[in-house]
Amino acid sequence: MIEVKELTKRYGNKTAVDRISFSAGAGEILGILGPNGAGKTSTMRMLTGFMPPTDGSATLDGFDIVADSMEVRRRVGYMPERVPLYPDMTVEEYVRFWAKLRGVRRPQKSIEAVLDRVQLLDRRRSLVRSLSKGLKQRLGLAQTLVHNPKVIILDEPTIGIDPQQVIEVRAAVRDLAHNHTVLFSTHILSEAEQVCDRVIILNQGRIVAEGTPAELRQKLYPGDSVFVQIGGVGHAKPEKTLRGINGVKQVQKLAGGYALEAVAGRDIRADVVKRIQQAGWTLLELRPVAVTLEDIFLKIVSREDAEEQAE
Amino acid sequence: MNGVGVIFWREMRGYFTSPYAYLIAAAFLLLAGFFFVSNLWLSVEQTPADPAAIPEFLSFGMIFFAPLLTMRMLAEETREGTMELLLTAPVSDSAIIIGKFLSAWGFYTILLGITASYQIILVNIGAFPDLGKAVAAYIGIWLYGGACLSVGLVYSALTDSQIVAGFLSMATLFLLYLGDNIGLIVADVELARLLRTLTLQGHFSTSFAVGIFRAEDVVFFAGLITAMLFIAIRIVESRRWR
Amino acid sequence: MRDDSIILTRSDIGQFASIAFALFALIAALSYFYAGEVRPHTLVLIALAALSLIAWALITPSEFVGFFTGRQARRGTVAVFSSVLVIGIISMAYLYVERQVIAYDLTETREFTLSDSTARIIERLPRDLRIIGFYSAENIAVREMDDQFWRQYEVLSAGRIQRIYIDPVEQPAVAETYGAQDGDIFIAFVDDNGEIIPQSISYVPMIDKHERDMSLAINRLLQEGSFAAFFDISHGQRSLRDTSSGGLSIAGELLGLNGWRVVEFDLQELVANDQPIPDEASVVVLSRPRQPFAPATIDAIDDYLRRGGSLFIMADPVFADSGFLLEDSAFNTYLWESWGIRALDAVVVELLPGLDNPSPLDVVSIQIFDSPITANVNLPDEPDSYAMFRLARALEISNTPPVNNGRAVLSSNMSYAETDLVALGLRDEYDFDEGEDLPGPHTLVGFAVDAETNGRIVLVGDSDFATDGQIGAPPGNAQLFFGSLNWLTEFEERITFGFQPSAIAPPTIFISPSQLDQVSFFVIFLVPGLVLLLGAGMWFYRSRR
Ligand SMILES: Nc1ncnc2c1ncn2[C@@H]1O[C@H](COP(=O)(O)OP(=O)(O)O)[C@@H](O)[C@H]1O
Ligand SMILES: [Mg+2]
Repeated sequence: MIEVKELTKRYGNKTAVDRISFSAGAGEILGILGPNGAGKTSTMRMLTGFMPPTDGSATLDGFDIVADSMEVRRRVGYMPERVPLYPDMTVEEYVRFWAKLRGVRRPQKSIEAVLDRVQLLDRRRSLVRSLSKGLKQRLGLAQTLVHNPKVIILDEPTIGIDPQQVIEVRAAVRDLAHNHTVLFSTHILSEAEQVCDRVIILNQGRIVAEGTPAELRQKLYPGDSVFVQIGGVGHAKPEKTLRGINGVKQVQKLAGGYALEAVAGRDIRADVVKRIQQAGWTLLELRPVAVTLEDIFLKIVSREDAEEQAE
Repeated sequence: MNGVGVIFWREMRGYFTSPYAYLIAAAFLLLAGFFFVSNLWLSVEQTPADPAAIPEFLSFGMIFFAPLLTMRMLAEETREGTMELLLTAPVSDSAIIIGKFLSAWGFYTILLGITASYQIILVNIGAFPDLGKAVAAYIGIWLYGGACLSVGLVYSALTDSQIVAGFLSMATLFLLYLGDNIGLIVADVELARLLRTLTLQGHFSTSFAVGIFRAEDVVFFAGLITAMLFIAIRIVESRRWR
Repeated sequence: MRDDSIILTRSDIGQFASIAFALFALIAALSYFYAGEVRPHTLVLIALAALSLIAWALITPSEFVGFFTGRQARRGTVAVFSSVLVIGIISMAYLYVERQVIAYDLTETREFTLSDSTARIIERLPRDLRIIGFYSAENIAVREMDDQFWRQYEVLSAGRIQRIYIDPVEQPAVAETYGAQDGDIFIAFVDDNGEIIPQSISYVPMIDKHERDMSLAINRLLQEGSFAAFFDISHGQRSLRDTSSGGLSIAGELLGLNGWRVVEFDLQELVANDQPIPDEASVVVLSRPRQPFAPATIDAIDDYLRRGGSLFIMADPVFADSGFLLEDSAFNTYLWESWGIRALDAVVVELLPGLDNPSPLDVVSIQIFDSPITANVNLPDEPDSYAMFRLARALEISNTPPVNNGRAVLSSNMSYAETDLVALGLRDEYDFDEGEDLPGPHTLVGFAVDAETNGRIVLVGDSDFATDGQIGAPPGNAQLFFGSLNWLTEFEERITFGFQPSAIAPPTIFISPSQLDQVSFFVIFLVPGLVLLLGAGMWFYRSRR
């Protein structure tokens, strides 16, 4: 559905997107992950036809983003970083406007359907300005969906809303994958892990890693970690003991327990149980901890920095 | 053009649902009414009433009203971020500008139409307005107003601050207006004449306002509108590669 | 995050130079087309354009080459060039249309359309004419307004009339030679080399309407000196210099405006010196002489008329025993015997009901006969175009005249002529006495023409109608005065811009204060108020949801 080849964007002398290539299939949720300034927004703006690329090319549903810009725009639903709203319109007027502008034939049905979907149907006659932040976010989503686009591009849709609504939005995005291809950008790594089928990691305009969250974890961080909760410790300090266990690389004290990082390729669970028993403590909990993308990302970025310094 | 209608009707709706637009309309009608009545007062037992009283007032008044009607049109879209969505909708940049311009012009036309109907009062109370002159003056001020609005639109496209857009267009329109007093600025009469042909007044006060319909004045206003819209489209377009 | 700091890069400066080039080139091209020739400032602009072009090429050579080979171009440069191109095309279109002089006068009174009279004047131009206007830059709006008219003279005359404008501030010496102030307008003939003929320069007083003032001035120039009205003042007549209500100053001024030479002369002295009335007198005007004419004077007049002269007599009723043109006086007898017209010692009393004349002694032109004398009197569409005589003598027109004669203006069938002038003059009494008074209708204006000599006479039984007090009220009076002179001088086709009813009395509007208050209330309070109310309602309705 989305094919990107060597896409480049330069602002004057600054290269914001640097020859990136990737693709996304139909029904896939592709995450673009990266810190602020990585080039996520620039990439999305090129794909939506907002601005032409400096170099390279991309197609959406087989249409070139430069040559067939209008066709591409008809097939894309886009929600920019900051939800664009007309405060003086009502919810329904707002959605109708975008539906008509994007050439929806008989808009009333689609409008009601999409408002129902984002649970704003009962607020359809309210002024946009009177909506709460979360509702505004949903209205933004409604606008993105109203013309039933093949590709949906969401630029950091969970930024600046409260946690409950973040969860709702994430669920909504997952829901979209049934009928649409979704391009989803975020700088929160756990979010990408939860929502996306596949993730590309951008840093300073370049793709530094690509794959499913699991693949990335496997590739970049094969070592497992375990979480232990210990009882009956008294005044003793268990960190030292724990660090002494064979195969443990690092110990981190967390609320209510400890995270033990293992040396690559080693299962340390048996050794841990044994050692705790030896110390006369009670093992209350022992479970493996999945490596988060935060870790992966930190690692990639620091590796890149190191490479850069080496050059 | 695809989308012109949608943009036009959205902006029209915007005018008719915004209390701000009603305030402008009321001020417009109040001032127009004031000049209408004061001309009538002066005419009583003297001359026939001048049907161009309101158009003549508007030739000055549009310096202020045109920016008020246009200053938010594009500045607000940029500020609220909706410009980004507009520019990724399947409509051309020109459709956006033309749609917006037409709706501002349309709103102005409605207000102008209300004041034009006052001529019926003049006829009814026996004030003998020269209706031919009225037609010329109203056609003239309609085109004149369109040109003012197009200038306002350029500044609205140029900046994301309404206030700045409004202020700059007022200043520009004021300069463009100053035709009959251009002699205060330049001493050379031929230069003054040349400069006057570049002003709004130069194509209104001695032609449309006195009942003459000149092709060159129509070309001037239509040309000014075309040029301003063209520039506004280029400015909006430039957002794409800025 | 967007980087908002402004840094001028080399390519920015290059782009700036390219924009400067485009603008200068455009203005240079336009000024060339505007002036139709290369002027110094055009050269300056071309030089500036060239400099910018060089700067562009030097600062950003690759972009410069790229632009002109069409390979690559900065979008900004393309946008500016295309905008400049659009403005250029529009300006060309403007200049083209302006040259075509396409203008429609939409006013109901055709205020800006030259009339047929002007067209006829222009047809008679013996040589090309210049309109010379003096306007400074401060007067530019006035000049543009006037130009609406002057350029129509150019068009109507197919270029035989041309307008030139001179700035009196910039060329004070030229203004001095004309004695011109800022805003003054002159006309002058030009010779075959296109040079202005200095003797023909004449000032155009801008008094009323542009066309009237200009056409009169041209007309005056055309017949400068060719027509002269000689007013005798040696018999106690009304004076051209008298500006009181009984004077003829307005009539004289209007004659002057229409290109007449107006001369006051002493007929008695001429006769005493045994000199004839000069041939240059197109017409001799006798406006209410107070004394009877001596036989020698009558002979002089007869001699003048035999030479083809014209005589315009305005004779008021005489209530005394002696005066001008008493019924049995020598002059009246001469008129009757030689021309078949005479004045009676009787005052016309108009009894026709429904007239708005203040008294039955104020006689109006009820009936007119079609003649050049009354061409503009009693016009069907202009209710003010009748003539009125306050106290008028009845005239008698012979039915078996020695020459051609006729009646121009008559009173109604209900009128009669009072013969008891003593009662009328002393006690203001009049009553129809069967057998004594003369039943109407009565002739008020009569004329006679000798087909052989072309001598002409117009006799009017009143002189007040042409005085300052009455010549414009009603406007038909002036039309009768000029009509008479036109016929006398045989210039029927002559164009006379006398008082036009519409020019003197544009429709005035009468609106009662209460009606005005209603209009004010509707227009200033009701309409804007309703709009405000509507807005408030809309806002309230929408924000409550
Ligand atoms: N309009 C612009 N002009 C100049 N630089 C820009 C512009 N937009 C973005 N940039 C720069 O490009 C880089 C990428 O920005 P962006 O695509 O917004 O990143 P992200 O969305 O990942 O935060 C940033 O360094 C930013 O400063
Ligand atoms: Mg971003």
